[in-house]
Amino acid sequence: MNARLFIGVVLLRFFCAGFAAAAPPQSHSQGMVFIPNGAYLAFFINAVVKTPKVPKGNESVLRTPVAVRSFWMDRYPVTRAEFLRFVVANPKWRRSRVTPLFADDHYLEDWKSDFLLNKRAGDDSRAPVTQVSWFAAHAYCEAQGKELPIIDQWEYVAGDLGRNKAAASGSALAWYSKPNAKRIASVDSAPVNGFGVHGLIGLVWEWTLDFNSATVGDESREGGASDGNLFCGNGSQGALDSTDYASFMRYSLRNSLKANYTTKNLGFRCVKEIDP
Amino acid sequence: MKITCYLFFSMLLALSSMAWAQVQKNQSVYQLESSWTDQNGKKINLKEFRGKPLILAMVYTSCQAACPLIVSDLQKIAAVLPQPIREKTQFALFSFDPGRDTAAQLKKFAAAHDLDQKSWTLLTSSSGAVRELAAVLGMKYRKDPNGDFSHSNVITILDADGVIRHRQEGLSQDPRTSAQVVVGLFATPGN
Repeated sequence: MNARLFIGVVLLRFFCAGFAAAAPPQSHSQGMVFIPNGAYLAFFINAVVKTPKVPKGNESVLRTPVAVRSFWMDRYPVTRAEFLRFVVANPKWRRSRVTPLFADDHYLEDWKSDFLLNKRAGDDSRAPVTQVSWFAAHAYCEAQGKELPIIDQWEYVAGDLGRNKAAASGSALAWYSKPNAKRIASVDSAPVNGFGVHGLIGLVWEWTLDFNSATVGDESREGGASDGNLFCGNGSQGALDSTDYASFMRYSLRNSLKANYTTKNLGFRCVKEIDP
Repeated sequence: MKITCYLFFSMLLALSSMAWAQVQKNQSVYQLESSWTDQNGKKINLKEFRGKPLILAMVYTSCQAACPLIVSDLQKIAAVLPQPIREKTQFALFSFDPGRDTAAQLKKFAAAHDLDQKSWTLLTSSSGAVRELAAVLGMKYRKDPNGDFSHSNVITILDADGVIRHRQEGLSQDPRTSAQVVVGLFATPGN
């Protein structure tokens, strides 16, 4: 890694850690965890450094730390029981009423009916809700006065400021390579990270507000969108952190989603801005 | 007996076509309830486009590269439409840059690109409304640190009910494919 960049990241981390410690720990609201200011290293390239004398096309490509402002994040993924309360209060989101624009045919198909959660014996109402579309997840968070996390917020918390990095990425890969569990476990069983957030990795994949953000190698390559960084050919390969295969998988998944898709292992949680 | 049988089948047919109409409606983009502002500063709800086909794209007006091209792609489709059909077709540009694209800015952009007020609507709203519309249209976009946007280039054709009937992906495609879709919409009842 570029030495200056490395020092920059280390300094930023120290600075942020100090800042976090100084921030008053506000009271936990509605099962949420305070996430202090910080920065994380985005998986994709976000800067191109042009140095003189280097022929065009050979500029070095860097990933620079992305700053993330403090916010609240749900301690757990949203559970089936919690989503049921939302569906009862918001008829538009009942399985029998939702329209194909907002959710595909498999929306909540693992529920017995509009209001009955348990299709099979042993289904757990404290398990994360899945088979929900982006629209449904978005509406749920809005109804709680919250919002879906943006990718930067989600990845920052999942990165855990580099704590136990090897173990964390090992367990993420172990989980990603396992076939889907027949039944998703309760959120209480999920491992907790250094921020105090449970189950970001190991239970379900999670929607983000900006899942449809343009990233490396997507269709914006075609048709020449504004940003050369997105698809600067040979430069981009060096820019990806090849050891960070877990992030790569998450970016690929998000890239493949459409907003009305629902799948067996895709849930969500919400975040909230810090009141000024 | 024979009559009962006919009656039964015609009822079945009527019921299934009603069900089909219902499904059609359910796919309408006009279910989105977001409120937009046009180039004249007038508030517009998406459903106000109901009744005529709409050809639309998402752009931002300070865009130097792809957006002028996508506008000219829309104009090319307009140019190959037979005149009576062109007159019954609406064109819209939705901005994904609410911060910079004010109504006044949109008006300037319309003038600079010769977009006549009668058939062209340029719209801006909140970032939430933009996100929702992009999600429905399957558009990818990202605001870069320098204020530019990276985005997919898609032209979407909605029928009179707001159902997506065609997506023209990428720049400088043959406009006749999209034009044919629009002409086809006038051949089916309801448009």
